[in-house]
Amino acid sequence: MTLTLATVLALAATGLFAGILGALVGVGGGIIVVPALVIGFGVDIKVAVTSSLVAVVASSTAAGSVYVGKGLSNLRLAMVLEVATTLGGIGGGLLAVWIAPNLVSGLFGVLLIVVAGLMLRDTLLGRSEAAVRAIAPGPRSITGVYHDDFRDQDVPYTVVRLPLGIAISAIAGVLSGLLGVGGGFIKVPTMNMGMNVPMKVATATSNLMIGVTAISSLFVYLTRGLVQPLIAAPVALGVVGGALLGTRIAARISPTLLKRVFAVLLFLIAVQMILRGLGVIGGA
Amino acid sequence: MALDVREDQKSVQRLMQTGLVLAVVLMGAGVLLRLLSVEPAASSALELPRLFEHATSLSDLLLGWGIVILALTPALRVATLAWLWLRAKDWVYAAVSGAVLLTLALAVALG
Repeated sequence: MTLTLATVLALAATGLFAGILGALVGVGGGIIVVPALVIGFGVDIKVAVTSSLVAVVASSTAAGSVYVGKGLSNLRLAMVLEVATTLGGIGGGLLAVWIAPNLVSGLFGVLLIVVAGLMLRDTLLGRSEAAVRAIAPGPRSITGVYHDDFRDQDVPYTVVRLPLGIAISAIAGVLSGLLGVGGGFIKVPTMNMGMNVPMKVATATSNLMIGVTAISSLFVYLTRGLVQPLIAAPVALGVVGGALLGTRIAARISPTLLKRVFAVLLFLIAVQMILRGLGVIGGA
Repeated sequence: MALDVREDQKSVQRLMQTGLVLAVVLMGAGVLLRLLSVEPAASSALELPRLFEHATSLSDLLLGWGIVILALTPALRVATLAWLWLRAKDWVYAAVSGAVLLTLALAVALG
């Protein structure tokens, strides 16, 4: 690909959109970057995937630096779940030899539709933050408090069912290694609906984690010479701008709307995974 | 001694901002140089070992280092937290951070 100003701007615009979405809902943005590069720019799928990984790290670092400063990302929770995710990622990479990724993709897509439905139901019943209950923390509990700009109030929370989160994060890691997906779309609903973590904290914590998940694969691709800087860099620069913009939007958005946006995105990811499972579209 | 939560948040934020700014400046300069220069327009893949041996052009070098610094930032964030928690004698989370670093190293080694 020859680098022209128009190409750079188009690549950066793609990254900008992915960055906004990534910062808002805590996913990597690969769902936008990979198809856009393949279909819109005629880029090889492997180059698109590696560029997407660079974009994920850019999104995670840009949004993460803001969210960490605001106390939205829970560093302890992120670190515990990162162990499970990275271990799961290695397992997924090894399992890829034995399991048909298409089958896993299809089955998981169906499960995601159910999760998206449950999240939408919560918001429609006015239970967007119903999962966040006031629970007295134990001596080793992970706790936190963040300031919700939208409601202008401090929201304290105590993380519950940590073993569940670790197990689901390991599964997210396996899927990451098996299917080349980020896993944020699994961890966010798990944290919010299963672990008593507020939606904004769940997306911010997921945002921080996906950067670590992405670099475990990115370094392998870098060593093998599969990263195309002339494509990855403009996308990453756009992502940084988008992610910083996304953090500003996220601060002013209601948790209910955020949850609805996430549920819709989850549904789109589910459809993509089912189509991949059926062999209608190619996998990464 | 428990670590002040704000202290680890501030340290991590500073590190991430520094890594991000460095990466953005390098990548931005690399893209700009490539747009303005008379260097060969054909794009070349970034191969990590080659980056340290010889780069074909200044723009390649800037782009390459920008991406490498960006990729190193999350790993350095984990290492920083491991150090901070170790210093605060928060053994559990220091061990958890160490495990993340080890797993990352394992992933790269197995890759």
